[in-house]
Amino acid sequence: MRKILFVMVILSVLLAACAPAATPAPAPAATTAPAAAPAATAATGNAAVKPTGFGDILKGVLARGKLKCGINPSNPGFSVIDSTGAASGLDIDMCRAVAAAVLGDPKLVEFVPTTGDTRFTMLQTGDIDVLIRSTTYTFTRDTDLGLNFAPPYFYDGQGIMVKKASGFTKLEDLNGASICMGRGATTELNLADAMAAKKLKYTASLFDNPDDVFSTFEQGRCDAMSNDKSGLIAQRSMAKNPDDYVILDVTLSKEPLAPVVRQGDDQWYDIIRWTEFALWIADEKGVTQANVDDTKAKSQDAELQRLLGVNGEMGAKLGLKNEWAYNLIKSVGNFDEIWQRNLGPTTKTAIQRGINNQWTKGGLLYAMPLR
Amino acid sequence: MTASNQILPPPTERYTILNWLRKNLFQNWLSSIVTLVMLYVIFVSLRGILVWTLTEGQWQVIIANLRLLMVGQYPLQQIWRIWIAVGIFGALIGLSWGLWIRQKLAATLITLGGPFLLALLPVDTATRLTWVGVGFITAAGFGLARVFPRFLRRIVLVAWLVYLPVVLLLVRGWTAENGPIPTVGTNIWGGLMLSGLIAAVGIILSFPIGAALAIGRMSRYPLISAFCVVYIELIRAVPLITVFFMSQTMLPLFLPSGFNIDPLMRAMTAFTLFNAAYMAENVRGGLQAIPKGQHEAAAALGLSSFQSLRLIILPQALRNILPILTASVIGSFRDTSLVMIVGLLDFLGIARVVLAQPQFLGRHIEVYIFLAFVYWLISYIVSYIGQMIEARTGVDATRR
Amino acid sequence: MNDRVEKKVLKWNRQSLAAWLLDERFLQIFAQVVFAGIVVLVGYTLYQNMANALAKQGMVLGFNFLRLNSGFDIGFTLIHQTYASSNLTALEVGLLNTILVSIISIILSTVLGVLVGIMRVSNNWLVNRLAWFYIEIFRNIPLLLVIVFSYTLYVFNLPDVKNAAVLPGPSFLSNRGLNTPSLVPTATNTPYLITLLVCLFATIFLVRLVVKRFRLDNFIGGLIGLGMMIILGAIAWLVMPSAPYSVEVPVKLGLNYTGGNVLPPELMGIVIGLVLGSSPFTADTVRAGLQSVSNGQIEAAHALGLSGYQTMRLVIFPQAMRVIVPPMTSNYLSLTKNSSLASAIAFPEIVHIASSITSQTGRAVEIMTIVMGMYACLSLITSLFMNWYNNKVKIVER
Repeated sequence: MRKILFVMVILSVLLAACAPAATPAPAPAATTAPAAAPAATAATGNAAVKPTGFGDILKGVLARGKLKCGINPSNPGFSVIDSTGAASGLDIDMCRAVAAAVLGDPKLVEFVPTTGDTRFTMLQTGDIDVLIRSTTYTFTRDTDLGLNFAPPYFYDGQGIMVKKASGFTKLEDLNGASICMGRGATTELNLADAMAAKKLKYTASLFDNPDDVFSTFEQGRCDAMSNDKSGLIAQRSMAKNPDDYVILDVTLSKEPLAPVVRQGDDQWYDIIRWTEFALWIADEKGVTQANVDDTKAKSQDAELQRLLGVNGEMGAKLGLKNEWAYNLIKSVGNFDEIWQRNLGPTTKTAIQRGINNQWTKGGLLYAMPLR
Repeated sequence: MTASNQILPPPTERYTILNWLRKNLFQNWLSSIVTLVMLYVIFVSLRGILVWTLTEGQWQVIIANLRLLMVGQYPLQQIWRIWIAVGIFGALIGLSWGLWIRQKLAATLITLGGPFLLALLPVDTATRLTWVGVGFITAAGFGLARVFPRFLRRIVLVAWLVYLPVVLLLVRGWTAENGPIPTVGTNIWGGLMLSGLIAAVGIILSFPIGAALAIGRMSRYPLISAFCVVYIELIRAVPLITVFFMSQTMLPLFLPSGFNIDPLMRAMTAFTLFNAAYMAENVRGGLQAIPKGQHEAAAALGLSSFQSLRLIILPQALRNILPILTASVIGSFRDTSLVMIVGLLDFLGIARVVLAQPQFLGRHIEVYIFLAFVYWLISYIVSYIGQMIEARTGVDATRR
Repeated sequence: MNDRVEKKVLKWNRQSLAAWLLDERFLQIFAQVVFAGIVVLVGYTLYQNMANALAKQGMVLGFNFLRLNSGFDIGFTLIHQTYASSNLTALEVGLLNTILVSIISIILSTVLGVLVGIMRVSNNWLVNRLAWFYIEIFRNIPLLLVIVFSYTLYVFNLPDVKNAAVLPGPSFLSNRGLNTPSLVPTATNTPYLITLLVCLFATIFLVRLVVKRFRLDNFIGGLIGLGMMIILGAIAWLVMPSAPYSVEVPVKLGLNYTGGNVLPPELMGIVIGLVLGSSPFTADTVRAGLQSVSNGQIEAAHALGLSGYQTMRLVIFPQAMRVIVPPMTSNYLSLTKNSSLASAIAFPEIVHIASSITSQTGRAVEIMTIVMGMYACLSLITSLFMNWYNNKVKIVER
């Protein structure tokens, strides 16, 4: 009997670990009060609730020797896994850039597949160090979910794609249409807003997998598909006959895609931001994978000297090596190189840089001065 | 219908083809019409399927992605570790077959020939050669078992017991990046291998937990039995997918901060705890089927309560539930496909990744057919092995 | 347990305190108190962990978000829902959709399962093998794969709206779904329904009288009653000044069919998938039930002079049902739970909507609690109903 009892005790411990349905009763008043204060309180170091401290994530990454980056395993142009199991895409290269900056080697990154439902939780719980999954920067996500958004690396807008044969040209033509789109994103909310504003009726079909959205649309299940325009362009260029599809000249929303980190570790937040800025500065000043060694040796540009670790202790201020930016440009390239590799005209998922160009070329990418 | 046969086997008729046809396909005009209609339907659908498979289906997507489908993104340089696991598995199967189920010649041939059949697949030479190697290991195991049956029996049992932990350790690795067995993060485990591991862990660990729950449910202690009842019924009332969702989104919240287990471990935990509730009911069914007289007889022999459980009750209960156990093993294996929904790249999950590859857009049907075939094949093999074990333990003979 | 404790008691007899401690009643209570204590302690720790973790993320447990706007439109709803409706309404839509899918699938899979089950015991070898083949195939393939596959086939192989297949009704089948005519109540609807109700009571009364008077079979009585109701209903329809319902036929208007009912492909996909995936289990149960009735029973029935139909209805059926109903209960329960897999093919049932809301609001804990509670309720209702039915078909033994 005692053995059984012992087993039961062990069991109860195990089971209770997974029987939460019984526990989440309304929170007692005591815990309600401090939590009602904005999340910022927690971030600045509330004595009662110990926040993820400053520098913890970096320490964790360095100790592990690998960066854990949350991605979407099936989003052409941004992140896909090919037959050999290798990952590629814009999001993937952004992950690699962070790994190169922090660990000095773009290969030291673990790509953790996430879904629209699990991505934020996995970030909150520390399954991933950074989420680079074409995630739109919104107010609610920034404030309500305990997350921080780094500057957007891709300014997108939600669009609508139809078949050319349908003859649709504007949103009003889609009254009564059925529209396919991805789920768990801002897409469904934006479309609902846009259609309601024009008092248009429609039927939504929401899929988990971007590929499902296109294939069902292609088969005629829907009159139109809605997605971020980048996604639409990528899907269209992969289709058998890209000319059969038209992306309507409407933009339903702003979709700034940004890397996400959890709140409470400002050092890590800075590292992600400055990794992006480093890519942009290099892009702006024409420092490429090929000429970075040259530039490092010869350039008289003070900002580039600081960037590449020739002058100043910039890396140390982030808690990194001074060659952090040199490493990432040397191994991954600048932002333009990343873009051309994954979304350039020679790829299957060609997208114009458009507003995603440097501010000097009329785009929105604007790196803060590195000084 | 078989009742009368058992008493006295009827004299066998002369079996000619014509006789058989008349007896089984054309008993009367209704039966004949049905037969003809069915034949036509079978002909048309078979022709359609064959034509599609051989002419329209573009199977390149499977061949190009075979490695991804089988082991996910597991690094190429480390695949030998999975081969070792497969090799040991082959050896164990060969040994067990030789020790316990050697009677059926056809089945034995298929088992031993299985790896050689796999070597015929249109893949690279190295893989084919490895399959041939696995085939020889399996055959060697079978041969060894025939030569030293007595000596090997215990060893093989122990080997089966430690097999899964060893494989998990081997696949996971334990040394640093540049060591001989570097750690491979669970985030790049995938494909059929991942499905198999989740299923194996879930089934094996759920068994002791389920047995304990079943015993607890039948306990005389009202609090303990109430706890077990609540747990079992609560879990059985909700879909597995919600349990998976919970494991991915809620479980981390319940762990102390700073202590975290990775998504795969969470999924495995959830799957085990879910299976345990079902297993508990199976075990309870087996326990309740044992007549009270057995308990009393055990007590009369002076066996303690634990002894009677171990020596009298559990063995009989296990034999009772063997058929249902096979079914639940297959069920669990099928259910692992649900981890796809929470973002793990199991067999079905990795198939969706394959479908997103630009060069293979729209190849859904080929990929799904391949998946269905593999799932079916594995389930069928498991149920066949289950039947073999049933036949060995004589469930049928004693109960019918 | 007894003897072990007794042995110990004998051994420790001299020390009465020890004997008292090892008294079984004490042990029983002590063990349970310890057990309960551990459960409570573990539960409390977990709760504390969760509260801390949530506080760290600046989140508070609470159900206020249910009243907020959901912000998204749901493609298939049984009740009115727009993007301005609350999250609660969205969850209600999901629950109703789950129930709808479950009911349709249960009915269809029972029909198909019974058919295959009967085929499985057929004397015709081909029919028998075909049923076996069907069972073996769909039993061994993951349900999720069956669902995803059937949906893909459905969307990929049906004609698009322009070339929709016209079915009787007129209904239209395309990869947008099945558009069927619907009945729209008109002004005379209410009086018609009242008339029907009156007719129903009258029929029940009459049929009871007839059955008693002529000692008819209850089943035959039921058939007579049904026939009467159909005739009375038709007469009442004609007598009404205007038709109580107008038929709304789907019409192609621009992009889609409007009017009538529409069953979207996602619904068809999940129903086909669930029916294919769960009918093998029904079929096996039916086969086992039919085979459980021994030949002797049938021979005895013939000896008593019962006809084939009577043998089936009075001898085989009641006995087979006794074997069939309990496993069918769990089959129906698992089908209801498996309807959650519809979320993989974008049918907005409860899990699909719950995870949409979760990703919009981040309220994983609360939403999962609600969803699991809803499933628990559904399971409870189904098993209560099946228990009631089981008691009805149970053969009363001595």
